[in-house]
Amino acid sequence: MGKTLPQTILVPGDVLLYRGRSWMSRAIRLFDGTSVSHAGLYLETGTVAEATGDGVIRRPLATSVSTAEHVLVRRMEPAPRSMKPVQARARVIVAEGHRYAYEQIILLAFLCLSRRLVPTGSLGRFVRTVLDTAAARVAGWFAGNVEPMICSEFVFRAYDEADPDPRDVFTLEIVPLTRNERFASTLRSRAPGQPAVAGRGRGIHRGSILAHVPSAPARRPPARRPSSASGPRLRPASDEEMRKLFEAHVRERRGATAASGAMRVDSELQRTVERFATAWAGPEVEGAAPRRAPMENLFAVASDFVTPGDLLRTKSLRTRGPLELRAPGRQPRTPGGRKRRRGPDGKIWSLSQVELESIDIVARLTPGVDRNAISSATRFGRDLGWDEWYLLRLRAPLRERFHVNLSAVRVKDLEQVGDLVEALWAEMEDP
Amino acid sequence: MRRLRAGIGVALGLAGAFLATPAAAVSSAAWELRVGHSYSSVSALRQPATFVLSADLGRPTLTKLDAGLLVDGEWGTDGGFEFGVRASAGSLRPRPRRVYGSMLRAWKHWDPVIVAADGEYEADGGFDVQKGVLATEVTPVGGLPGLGVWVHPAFRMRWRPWIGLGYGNVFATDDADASREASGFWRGLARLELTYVPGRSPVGDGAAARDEAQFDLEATGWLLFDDPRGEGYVKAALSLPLGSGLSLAASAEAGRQPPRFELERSIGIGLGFRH
Repeated sequence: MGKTLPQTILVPGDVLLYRGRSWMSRAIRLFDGTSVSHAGLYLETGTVAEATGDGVIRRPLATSVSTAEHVLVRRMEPAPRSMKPVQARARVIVAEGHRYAYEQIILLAFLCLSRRLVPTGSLGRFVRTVLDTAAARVAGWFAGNVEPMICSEFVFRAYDEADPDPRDVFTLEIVPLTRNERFASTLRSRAPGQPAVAGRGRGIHRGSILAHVPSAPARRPPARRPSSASGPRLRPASDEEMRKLFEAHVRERRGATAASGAMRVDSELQRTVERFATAWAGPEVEGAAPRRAPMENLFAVASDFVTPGDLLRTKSLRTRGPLELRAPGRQPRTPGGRKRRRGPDGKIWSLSQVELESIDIVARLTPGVDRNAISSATRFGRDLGWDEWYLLRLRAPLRERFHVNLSAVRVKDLEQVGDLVEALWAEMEDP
Repeated sequence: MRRLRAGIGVALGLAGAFLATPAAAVSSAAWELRVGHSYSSVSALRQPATFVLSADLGRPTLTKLDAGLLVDGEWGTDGGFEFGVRASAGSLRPRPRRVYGSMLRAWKHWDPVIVAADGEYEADGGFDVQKGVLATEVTPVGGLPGLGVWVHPAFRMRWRPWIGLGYGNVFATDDADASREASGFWRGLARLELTYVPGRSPVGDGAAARDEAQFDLEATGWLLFDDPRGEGYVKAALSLPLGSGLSLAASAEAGRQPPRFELERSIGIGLGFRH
């Protein structure tokens, strides 16, 4: 590992690639053959936009990197004249960020389906468990009108959609599988009339599970009903259960070799894949135009999706080095500690939710300022132009939203939005 | 160093030194001590103490000092208190124009307004005129364009009005004319604070924090019921960043202020430093 880069060298548009500490991060790295498991986009001073369980959100860099083992900084090269189009596109997505959700299990499920895995005795059960758990998660999101968004897909889209030209300077060229590795011709035959491979993703490996699943179409769930309500019940597993299966796979894998052949797709695994495809397709909307069949849709998505590893491999970005995870000097202040707390009214809050709600309240009280321009690092006085008495306007919406009555002096002394988040968090209790 | 005098009696102090003092010297959970801030202005919490040296060849070096010290803390959930002392002094000012004061002030947030009540002692430089005033002031927290917050990120101007009413007593005076107010006087006041920062706010564009030019204006008008007539005092300050924390600061003051309400007009230019 080379010398770390101070956080002050970050510029808007930098791609941050994280190496997590959890077993799921390890699994993602192992299956994707890479050293990173999460991606975020450095948006502006001290803030990162990224897909999380709370949606596509902006949060302080310090919070974003707090659980990472290390973070690599990649920057576009040659550098475009301005990264503002990427920033602007990212802000648009973040503005609708509540429509999305992401958990690592989703990325892991797609890797299980599209990468060549070393078969072991535990792998089949592990993959089925991951797919069912991911399917249950996705079905739950769709039931709440929330769509999945993979972390690296968000970063890729911010670049890809920054300019309408399909081959503009912001397009990230993803390194595809070689012709010998790629399972593309079969894909074309499975999805007639559709662009089988959009050419942006790494593609489906010919030794993957998807390459060996017969093309029997899965049934789409009835309109306006969560997919888990139809067909065989999804069986989400606990994190601990999946971790044990993964550890068993890793142990058995040591005795196996890459030449052990492709994984056998039995009928049980096939049904699991179809359940995942059905969940991923989401419920049909009455009156909407018919869409691709779930399996065809799954093939298209799996051949096209972009992983954190793809963002590490792309030659459109150049690695600047590992990021210093603790910035010297003053950081945007956000509280650490437990991730969830109970408010005075009994409601459970995550730190991100407190931050997002706080930013919403601040934005509503600041004329002409875009909500997406506000972060924990935003200063009330210098950035937003609030005088100390105007800060007291926060008290009523804070009481209404959080049921927290911060003292007037405390509110008057707030310097930045992160201070507000910290003050609210301190008023909440561990559940 | 050189001091010039214009025909209209406006003094231009060149090469003065502005000492910008960090906001909080000592703090605790319950109260905070701020040094270098004048309590006399609500907007002055970010106002540095000012110390100006002026020398003419062959003459004594003269000084001008504007400083305050403020202790503030909580008063229940909805309010706070402030205790402060201030001095507008220095040998550059004739004694009658020097002002010393101390004030105890309590404020309460009753949405949508802030109400403050204070007791203030004020004296001139020779302590020839000493007064005590009990006053109450009120300001709306917000709600109008530019009230307490930039009008718009592209037009960074904000303002805040205070109106108040005071009842006071003259403790000592060597000259009834110098006091301008008799014992048991009533005094109304209206104050406008205005801040303008040119250019668009950098918030959200990824720009790093930078020093910016800023213009501050504070205008106070008093209605003296005894006289009866109005008096006013205006302070304006302009700060232009030069880089590396240095700034060129210009200030102007004009008008009459308690306790003697003597006419005062001055312009100052100096270097400011903030880190």
